[in-house]
Formats: sequence, structure tokens, C-alpha cells
Amino acid sequence: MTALKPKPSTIQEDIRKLVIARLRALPSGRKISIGSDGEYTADELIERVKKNDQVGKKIAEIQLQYLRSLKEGFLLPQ
Amino acid sequence: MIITRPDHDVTTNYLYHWSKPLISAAGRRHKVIDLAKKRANASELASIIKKVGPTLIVFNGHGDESTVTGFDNEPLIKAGKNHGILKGSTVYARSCRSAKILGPRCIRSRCRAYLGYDDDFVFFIEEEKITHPLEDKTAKLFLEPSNHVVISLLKGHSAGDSNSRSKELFKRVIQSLATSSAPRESADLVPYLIWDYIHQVCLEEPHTFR
Repeated sequence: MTALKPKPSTIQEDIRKLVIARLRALPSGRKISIGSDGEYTADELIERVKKNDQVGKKIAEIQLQYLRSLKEGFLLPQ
Repeated sequence: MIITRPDHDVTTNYLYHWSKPLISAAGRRHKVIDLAKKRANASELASIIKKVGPTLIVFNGHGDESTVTGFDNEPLIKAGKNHGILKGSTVYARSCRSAKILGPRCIRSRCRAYLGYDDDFVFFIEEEKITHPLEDKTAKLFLEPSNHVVISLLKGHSAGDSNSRSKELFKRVIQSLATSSAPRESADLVPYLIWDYIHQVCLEEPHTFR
């Protein structure tokens, strides 16, 4: 019997949900400056992630890199 | 030191103000040529570089893989066009992604060192501090460690060492925010600080230091 593997599209959707959940935790009254396009509130970032545009993809990349860095022990004392 | 400080949108306004400590740090020991606001344009920059042959050039502004820009996003240095004018200088570019293509091109053209970011440089701001950027404690978390590149260079540290010292400061900030005693809202900034930490690079011949 072979184990069921999740479809790539399911993984993408799960990642998107995770990123949106993390963005919802961002404090209000703050904006992020990213790239040349301007500054974004958490709500605006969530919309960008849902649309999966360039800014949304970058935010997802930042969150995934964070998770990878945790796995690699970035925050552990040297 | 030549420093460009365009000021035409919120991001460049923050970098404009957060570069003031760098000008102060240069003090009397280093001559500073401040290309602020509209003076951050390509012709004035080229003319000044030719005239003074600077050891250190600091760019603040927007950019992409092959460009750093000045006032109103005018390209100041573009790979393949005028990157050769940086020959002999140490460069720090606080702009997005220019260490990806422009940086290596500059190194091949005998720029002494190119410090910058091989992906987007990101930082958070507090909306209520938008008219007083230097009072913005959230922006400080990002811009003070990045300032430390230039502070270290001005103190005479090598480019690689200055990058390391800046990254050590980033890491101290990150670790302080990641502790259980830090407010939850600050901890949510950690992924973005780690991003800047990872993507801040120092390019030098023959090695590249991360």
C-alpha cells in the first residue's frame, strides 16, 4: 500500500493559509516597505498573498525562509 | 564619503533621515559629500566621483538587480552602462537586489568591495511616526543594524568585517525580539529581520562573504 502524497496545489494552498495566518498576527498601525512599489499594511499584504502577485509571492518567500532558518537553528545561541 | 539620499516617497524619506547618523559619524575625520534630495542625480554623482575619487560611496534608494536609483527613481548606476565609475571605491547600497547583478559587475570592474542586498531590503514603519522617521522604534530595528555597515567602515574596519559587525547587530536584535519576554507584536517582525540578515552580502575579490 502506498501512502497518499498531497498534491502540489494543496501544498501551495496550505502555505498560503499559513502565510495569511502569520500576517494576521502583525501589529496594527505598521506598514512594510518592500521593493519600489510602496508600503503595505497587513491587510493589503493579505490581499496580495491571495492574489499571488509579486508582492504576495515575496511575502510568502520571506515567511518560508523564516521557517527554514528556524529549522537550521538560526535562533539558537551559538 | 559620498552619500546619496533621495527623498521623494515614504521609503526614501526614511532612508534620508536614517542616513543622518552616518553623516554625523563621519564627523570631521571624513569629508562628506551629501547628495541629498534632487542632488541625488546621475550627472552630479558622476561629476563628483570623477572630481574626488571617493574611497566610500553610500547609496540609499530604490533599485533592482542591475540598478541603484536616486531622486525620482532616476538610475544612478546601471550595470553595463556606467558601473565602471565605481572603480576603486568601497560601495554600500541600501537598496533592493543590486548585489545580485550590479554588485558582481562592479567587482569585476575593480570596485574594492560592494556591500548590499541580493534580494529586496525590507523594513517596517509605524504609521503614526511617518512624519518623524527617527522616532520610529520599529524602523530602527531594521535601519540601525544596516547603518552599522557604514559606521564600521568609517571606523576603519574592512568591508567583510563591517558586514559581519552589521549582521551581528541584526542577530542581536533578532534574538532580543525572539525571547519570550519580548512583546508578541515585536516577535512577528523577526522573519523580516532574518530576511535582511540573510540577504545582506559583501562582495569582494576573490571571495564573497555572507
